[in-house]
Amino acid sequence: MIMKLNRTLLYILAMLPALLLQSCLKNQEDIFDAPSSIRMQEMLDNTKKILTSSEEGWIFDYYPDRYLSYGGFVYTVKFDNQEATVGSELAPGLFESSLYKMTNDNGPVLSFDSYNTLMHFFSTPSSSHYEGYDGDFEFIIMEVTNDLITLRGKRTGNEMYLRRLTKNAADYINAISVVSENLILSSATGTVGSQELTCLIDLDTRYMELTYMKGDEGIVVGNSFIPSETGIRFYQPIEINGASISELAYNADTYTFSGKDSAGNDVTLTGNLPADYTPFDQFAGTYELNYQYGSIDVTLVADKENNRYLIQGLNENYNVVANYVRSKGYLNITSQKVGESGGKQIWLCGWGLDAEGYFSWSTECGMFLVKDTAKEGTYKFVTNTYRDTPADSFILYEFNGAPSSNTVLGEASAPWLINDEYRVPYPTSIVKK
Amino acid sequence: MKKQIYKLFLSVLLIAVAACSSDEPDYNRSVITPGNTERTEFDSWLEANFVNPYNIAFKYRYEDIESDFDYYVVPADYNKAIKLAHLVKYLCVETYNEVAGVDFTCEYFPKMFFTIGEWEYKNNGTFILGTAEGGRKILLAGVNDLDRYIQNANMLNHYYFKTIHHEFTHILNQTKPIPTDFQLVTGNGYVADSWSEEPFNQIYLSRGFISSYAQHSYQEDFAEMMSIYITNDEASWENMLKGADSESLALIQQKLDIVKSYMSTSFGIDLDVLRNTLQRRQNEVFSGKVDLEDLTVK
Repeated sequence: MIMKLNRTLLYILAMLPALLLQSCLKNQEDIFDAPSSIRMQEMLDNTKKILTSSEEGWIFDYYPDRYLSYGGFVYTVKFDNQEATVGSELAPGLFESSLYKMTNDNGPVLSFDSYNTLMHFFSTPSSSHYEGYDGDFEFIIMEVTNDLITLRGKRTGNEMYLRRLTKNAADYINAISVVSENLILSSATGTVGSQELTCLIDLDTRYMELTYMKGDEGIVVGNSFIPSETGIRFYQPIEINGASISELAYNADTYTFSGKDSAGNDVTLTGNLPADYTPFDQFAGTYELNYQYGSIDVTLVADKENNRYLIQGLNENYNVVANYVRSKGYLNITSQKVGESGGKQIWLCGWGLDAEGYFSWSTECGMFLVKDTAKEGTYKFVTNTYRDTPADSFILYEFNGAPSSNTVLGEASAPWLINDEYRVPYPTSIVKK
Repeated sequence: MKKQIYKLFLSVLLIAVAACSSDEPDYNRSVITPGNTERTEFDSWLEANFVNPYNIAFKYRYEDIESDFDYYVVPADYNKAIKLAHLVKYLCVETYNEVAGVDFTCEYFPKMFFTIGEWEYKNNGTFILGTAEGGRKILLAGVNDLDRYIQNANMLNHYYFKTIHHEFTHILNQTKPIPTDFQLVTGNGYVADSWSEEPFNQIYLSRGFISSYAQHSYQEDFAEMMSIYITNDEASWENMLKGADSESLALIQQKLDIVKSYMSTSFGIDLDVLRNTLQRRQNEVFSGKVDLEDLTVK
């Protein structure tokens, strides 16, 4: 028994050197010159330095939802040492500050770790949307350069970018709003080089789909996009005939997308408008305005700078303003101040005769002028369905100062009347003379 | 022979130990990094009011490791987290201080709070108000809705504070076990996970339980008894028991008596004093006596 134990010990003894000699045989060189945690910290410090270095902040191409169901949304973020100030095309003019941090859980991470109604809009859950809109508020930092930081959403895995902003964030957001307001096309046709193609645009999901023929074969390619200052930028470049298109400029006056693919070919896509769409310039002219009490001759004069028309002829003392709705190709006549005398204000108000006779001084309440596709040169009055007061008529009212329920004085009188009446019931159309 | 083998063995081991001794760590450089997140004013307040006196961490910023990946959650709003921290301090921590002494609070009160902005929504439209893990960590959800409930004691307790007292009871139970006779009062009435289903979610009162969830198990029953009792004043407690027949009332009363005697013998706490103190403090909050936004460190 003892002998057996001894022999076992001997064997173990004989084997030990084999194991031990191995251990220090090679002096393993460190691949990196610093421990991983230090390198991570240096990376985060460096990123924070770059993030805070941009005086105007950053443009954030934000893509919620892992299936990209809504396309991209433009945010701006300005970082100081503690807080991020966030703006978004969701609410132009609104900026909200909240805390952020640089941390390392799934690699280096930028985390917006206190609530911000804009930054967390797409990630906020509710009873009806337990996933929210599947948005991210924590981002893995993939690549950092001075002007471009590549991020990946921790939830969605979507790739997103921070681009150094060189102008005022509010101005940038406003410019984006104008572009996205002008994006009204649902389809277009055009060419890439000599290749003809057709294009479908889904504005709700911010997705563009291009179809072209290769021999007898139809090929469909597409991608999500985000509005940019000049047009649209794709989530990932669209490949056509081996070359890729990553962004397109948009001209709102000619309804044309244009750009170049990676091979240098020109890309041009011209939009097809809805049948009742009226380009801005076409509204100019002299018309007969028809309503329940008869008709009045009016002239529509363009005020292109302010994106609106002035309607002359209703009263010699004032013009009525009609704002152009570019996304629809309509004019929108809403409640507005037409005059002032001795502290009193006179307003043309949207009036819902069929809505129990209520009228509203909200500058959103009123009626559209929409092209009548059946009759050339005719535009119909259509309610713009403002909340509880869908206007079908207009009424002139007098207020003691700015309009409110406390300042209502009563019906307007001369010289503010239209056709000697304070009422303009049931306008139906304007017809070109 | 044997001796020699042992000597050899020893010397080889010595070599083995010494073999890599030249691989010195760099004592001048720590691999533990401090991060680059700046302290906020709230951090300083928390340190003075939670960390230093009680060793309690109140985590108001989102940390993915503390959250539950089964749910889509968002961070808490900074200002609302400040209010909630003041409420936790005034309504929970200091209530127990007053009734049972600071040592009691230090020893038993949960050591970590983690806040998130929204509730933990499930895909059937229901949501979770808060959870506790291991008697140490309490998740406070829905912080961003705090302003909606802050003026209403019932709502405030329902959505935030009953959870804290409930989980705290579990911690106490882990220290001093629940008396056996408590388990026997409604011993065959516990229905485990069926508590939220029909008919149990309707008829709990007539079965001798103070809430639907109390039917889960005697541990939950005990925690529900205690947390509901102290977060309701006498009138609303009586109101709750309205509609219960005398038999089930007797069962609830019997259990309440055991809870009361447990608290007084094990921890020297008179449950009615605790309740009155809590009610008084609640009223002080609602009457505006407590500044919930003040971050000055005294």
